[in-house]
Amino acid sequence: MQSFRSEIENPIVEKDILELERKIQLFKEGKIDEERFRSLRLARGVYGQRQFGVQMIRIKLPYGKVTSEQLHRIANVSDEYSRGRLHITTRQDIQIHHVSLDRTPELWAQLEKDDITLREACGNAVRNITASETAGIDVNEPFDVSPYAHATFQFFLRNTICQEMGRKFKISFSGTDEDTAISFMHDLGFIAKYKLINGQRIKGFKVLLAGGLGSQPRHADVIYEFLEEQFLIPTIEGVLRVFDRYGERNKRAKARLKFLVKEMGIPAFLELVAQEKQALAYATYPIDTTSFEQEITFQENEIPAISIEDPENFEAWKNTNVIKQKQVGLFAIGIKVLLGDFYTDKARLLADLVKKYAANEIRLTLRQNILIRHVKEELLPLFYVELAQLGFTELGYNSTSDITACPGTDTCNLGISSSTGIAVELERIVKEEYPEYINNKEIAIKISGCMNACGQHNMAHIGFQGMSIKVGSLQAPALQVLIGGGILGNGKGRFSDKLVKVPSKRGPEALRLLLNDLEDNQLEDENFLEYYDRKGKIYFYDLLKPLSDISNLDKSDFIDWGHDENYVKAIGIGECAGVVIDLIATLLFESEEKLTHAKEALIANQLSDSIYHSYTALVNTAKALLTSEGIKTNTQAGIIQNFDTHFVANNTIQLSTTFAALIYQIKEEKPSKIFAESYLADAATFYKKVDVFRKNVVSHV
Amino acid sequence: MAIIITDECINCGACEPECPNTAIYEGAADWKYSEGTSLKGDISLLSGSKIEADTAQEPISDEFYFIAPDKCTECIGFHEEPQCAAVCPVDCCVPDDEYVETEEELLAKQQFLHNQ
Repeated sequence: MQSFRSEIENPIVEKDILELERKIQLFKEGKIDEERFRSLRLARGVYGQRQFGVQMIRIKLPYGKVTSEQLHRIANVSDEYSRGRLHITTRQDIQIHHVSLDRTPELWAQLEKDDITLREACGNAVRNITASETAGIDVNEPFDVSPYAHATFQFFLRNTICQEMGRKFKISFSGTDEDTAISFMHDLGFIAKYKLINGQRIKGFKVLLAGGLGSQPRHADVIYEFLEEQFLIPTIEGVLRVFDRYGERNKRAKARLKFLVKEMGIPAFLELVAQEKQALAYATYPIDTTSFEQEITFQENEIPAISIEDPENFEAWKNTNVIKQKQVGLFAIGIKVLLGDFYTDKARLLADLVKKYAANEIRLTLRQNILIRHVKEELLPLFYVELAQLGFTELGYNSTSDITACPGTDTCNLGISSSTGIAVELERIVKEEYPEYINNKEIAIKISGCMNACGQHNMAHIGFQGMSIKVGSLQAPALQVLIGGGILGNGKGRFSDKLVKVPSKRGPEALRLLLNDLEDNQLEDENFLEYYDRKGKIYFYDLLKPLSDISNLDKSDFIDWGHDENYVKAIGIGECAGVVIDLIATLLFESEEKLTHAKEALIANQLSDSIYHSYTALVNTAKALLTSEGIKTNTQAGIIQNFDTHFVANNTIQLSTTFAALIYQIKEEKPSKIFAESYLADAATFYKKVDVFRKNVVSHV
Repeated sequence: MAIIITDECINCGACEPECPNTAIYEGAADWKYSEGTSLKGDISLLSGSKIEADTAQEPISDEFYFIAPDKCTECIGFHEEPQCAAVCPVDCCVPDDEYVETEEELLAKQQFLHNQ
């Protein structure tokens, strides 16, 4: 375990990894609270899984970009610490499973050798920044969004303002109006735009706020038709600060940004963001894009002679899986990865191939696929032959037969019924019975094992969601069938209608009924959504309703896809957030820690960080006293208000102003050294007062 | 009958937005007769009890989503089947034996809630 210590070059990363190691030790000795430990490990990519005693590790890969060296590294780590399988997620991460908790610091240190992090991959943090997989190569894009996604990732990683938010926060960047990064379902979604200002083409973004899927999907609102790129980072910072202060913390199911914005409305929310202007670390933050604009370079290798033995299939493959890039003469190759799962032996060969003959970069896609970029036209035959040997030339990249599914009951605690099992079956049916859909890039089928919608089932044209169904005293696995979702483009999208719930084994029949009906009744020039709208929800409900009859189930209906024994419903509690136990002593102890962090940051001249630590120390200290009186502490803003009402107004705690005036200096003052010092002194004085008060109370009980 | 959410509830919240009467609330949440209905001021419920429509009522469950029986019409007047039950992923929205009502009674309740 000691071996990795000396090998990490970045001191901040080293500190992170050593802290994880120390906290694991304390946890094992029973010296830190389990919930606290959970929220710490989650913010370091270490997640629970369905199987007891092992962890899922989520490797954070900003906008899915992976080099050959990184892919080798991830493959090595998977072989050493996991089971050799790499799972691509719908947010462009890679997950590996069955990892021992003890070995996670060592695993992380290994990944860092190739600049790969686990930090803030899970937990209540800014999650992986996603982007269109064609960013930088798309013929239709105004500009490459990759440098902006990258700058956002770097700026908010370990940033003080978003370390303990009420809930997770997801950001996406779309390269074009096609909106392949699905901005309408993100907390913040950005779509690349140009605008002519004084005769100059200025880069910027259309900005969408407060979308989300889950059991209560919400369409994001457009907050800016055009936001200049230099305001990108300050805008995100403002939104995060408001979310941190006003976001719900006690009711987990209502803690995402979409609920806050739904409650207060866009104008009020933006007004609060505007009030944060003084406090921002930067008023403008121009982003340097030069490292993304270098000439594309290739290794000089002799190109082996290739003979294509199945020219027809080669043409079909070029048709469905190869994309012409905006760079003349270059192409991108889509690899359709079933369920997003691939294995380390193939991963290594792929890594070597892209290094040798392409430009050493792949992107993992939102549909759990791989996109190789920068392949010269004359090398397409070589890639076809080499990829075919790896089983990576299946037709239908991003087509109807390319079904998205979360891991579901295979490894996830939250899964209700199998998502991967039914996905495999539906792919088989499309390929065998409806081969014309292998070339259909319009209709998307997506599946999630539960309502949390990691498989994005409720924004797909055809979606399935895992459920269970009661049949007398028995339980059968079931699927909710949803229709009518999709990306409309330029920030607009549709969520699907929940139609009926059918036993899982009838999922294939539901798909057949739908596709047959479409074939029989769809008009020429009518797309799927137009067809759905013309017929209406009730029509499709009536079409599928007979499948929901449970009076005629047989034995096989009680066995889920991919299983050979009877279905057992087993649903755990989500742990993305981790319930926070508010022991007063713990809260006060944490305030002390926060004051220490504020001091350290001040010494390092990280002024806005120091100020934010002082701010959270103040909130936390107030929360401790409110908790001791059993008063609600759902949001930071509520804590501030309640503290004035219950402790300051009646002089229980004597302050020279209100608590609100004291703490909200953060909104009034620029992050100067003088202010950082005085604010820290205020926070320390306040802490002392409360501590003395609390000791008095306790000693008199 | 009103619908009741059993303790098998996994707190997913799928049912909440489906309810045409705003009868479903998250565990530990206060609720009001006036929310999502046309009820205002002092009202007499069909059971006879007098209540102020805008007064916050105590949560019926602290742990799970719950249905206020006096606001539940089993979707009569709106849908063919109770929508909460239709979307519940674990089949835990079931008829409540404590609140057995006829279709006419439910329809009357629907009209009472929505002032028709």
